[in-house]
Amino acid sequence: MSGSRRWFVVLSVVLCVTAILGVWVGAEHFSPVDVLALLAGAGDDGRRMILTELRLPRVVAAVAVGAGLAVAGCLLQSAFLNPLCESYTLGISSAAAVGVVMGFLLALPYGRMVTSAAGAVAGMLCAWLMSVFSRRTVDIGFVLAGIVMNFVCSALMVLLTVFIDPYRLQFVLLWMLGGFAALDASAGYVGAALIAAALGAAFARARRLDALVLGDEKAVSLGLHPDAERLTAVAIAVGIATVCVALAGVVAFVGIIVPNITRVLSGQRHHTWMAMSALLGASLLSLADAAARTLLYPVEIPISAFTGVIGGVVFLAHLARSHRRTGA
Amino acid sequence: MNTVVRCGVEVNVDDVSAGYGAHDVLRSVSWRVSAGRFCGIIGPNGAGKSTLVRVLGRILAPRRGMVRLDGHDIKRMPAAQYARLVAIATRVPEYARSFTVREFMLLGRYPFAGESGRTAQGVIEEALRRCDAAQFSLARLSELSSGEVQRVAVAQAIAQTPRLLLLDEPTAHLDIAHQVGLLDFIRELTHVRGLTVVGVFHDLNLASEYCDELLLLSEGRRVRAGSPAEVLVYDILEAVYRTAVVVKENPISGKPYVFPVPASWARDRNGTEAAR
Repeated sequence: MSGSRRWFVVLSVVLCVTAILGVWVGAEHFSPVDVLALLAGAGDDGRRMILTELRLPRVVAAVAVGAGLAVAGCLLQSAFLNPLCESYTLGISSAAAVGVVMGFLLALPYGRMVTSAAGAVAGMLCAWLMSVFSRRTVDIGFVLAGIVMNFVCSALMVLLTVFIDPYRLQFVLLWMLGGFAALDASAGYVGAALIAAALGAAFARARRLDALVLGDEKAVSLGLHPDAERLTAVAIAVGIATVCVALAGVVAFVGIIVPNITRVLSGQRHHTWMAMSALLGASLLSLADAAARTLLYPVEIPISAFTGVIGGVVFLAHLARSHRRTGA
Repeated sequence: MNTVVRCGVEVNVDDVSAGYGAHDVLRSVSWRVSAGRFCGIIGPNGAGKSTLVRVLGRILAPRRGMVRLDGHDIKRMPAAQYARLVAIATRVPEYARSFTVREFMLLGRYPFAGESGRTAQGVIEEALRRCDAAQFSLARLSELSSGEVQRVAVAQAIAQTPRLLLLDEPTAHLDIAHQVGLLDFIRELTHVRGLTVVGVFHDLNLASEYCDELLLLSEGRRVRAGSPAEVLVYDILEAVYRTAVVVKENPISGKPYVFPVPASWARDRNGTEAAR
């Protein structure tokens, strides 16, 4: 208990540091003192505008998306009792991204949040239908169908870019590869608020999730309806992933990396596990975003380039560990 | 122990058919279990033993017939009320083994939200101690052996203070000392405290020694129910298991015990008849 509390403090401090760093570095530098001065109305108006319209929304969005993706990973892993589930591997993110690109291509009069939600819901319905027809148990069938969805949607997205006119392609690519370069300030704040609300819903169900992961038999005998709990967890995760995709495109592996690290640190009571995951995910993504916009300045590196590499390493470590366990 | 065990319920399985997809695994099974009895379900692989436990555990709704606890149809019971009556000890999924034993045990008190922490602690410690698992309470489940996890799983079900305890092969991974220890404890819960227990057994001899009543299933149908001496009869067992067996009496407990006879010996029927 005291161990996980200590990690909680450590991760909170790490998040504060990375968030401050995220505001600080970039084309324009804003030290914490500068930020306070500018927000209080002192200093240069141009700099204030860069801070409030570009930098702050970007950091807020990165923190929210990082926390959101990590907690969505926790929810999906617990729904399917599988530590390699997340909104990316289950195809939710890619389906949402296809929705956004379609909306963009057809010039639909809806924002990215709406088209992303439509894509995610349509994708999950397809995955569910596939899992029903695969005649496996729902959980395994759905995971396999999700993986198929991810491949299909990724391919579809590449295909769709062919039809985007070259002048706008740069903008779409920036968003599609994952990153906050194409972020709109008000969308950043609205998205962060939506993610915060979804995180609240997830935390309210923490105790039920604890019981759910003991298996359906046990969950029923503890008075839960496991299918309903599973569906709710997936719905919350899809909601979070939808907003994350609208804000930052497809950011892969955060939902696997983070929960698998925090599970080792804090154990699996969902209350602590999800809280630690939210903190670590937020730190990881605000750090990745700061790196993405400074390392090769003025070129922006897609965030997925960082998360993909870290994700690969964590995946390997997981494989090595499970190999050792079955080998023993 | 007064805190842990409440008196048992009577279980009535009325003409239950149940299964998966189009296929019925259980066919018109009826069985009555009196309150406070330790009852075992036996039968060959695929006979429907686990399916019957799943019906009792409300995981699987029967296609026909019903299950009643003290006369109440479990299908009509609110989930919370059912959770305070019935507990099941199951295999702990690999995924859930990052819980510490203490966290895991506390989840057994989930149906009793609102009780004081001290009540819960008392029940949990008693259950852990009686399952010889108190020494693990700070460990994570992933650090325990499969037999130790199994003892903790049974302790969790007992800490739920059920009036009907369901066990699916409670002793599968245990050494004989812990098999006997755990089953002695469960029998004490039934005989002294009046808990009703229904368990699936693969080991006919453990079932014979510990159970008051047995239900023998074959291909989803009830073959025979009754005391071990009534059910463990060599001609019935040979027909159901398609294996030659010898049934003798344990000279100390007086319960029947069953030897399988290797097929090479069984070919010489005269030899086995003489041994019998």
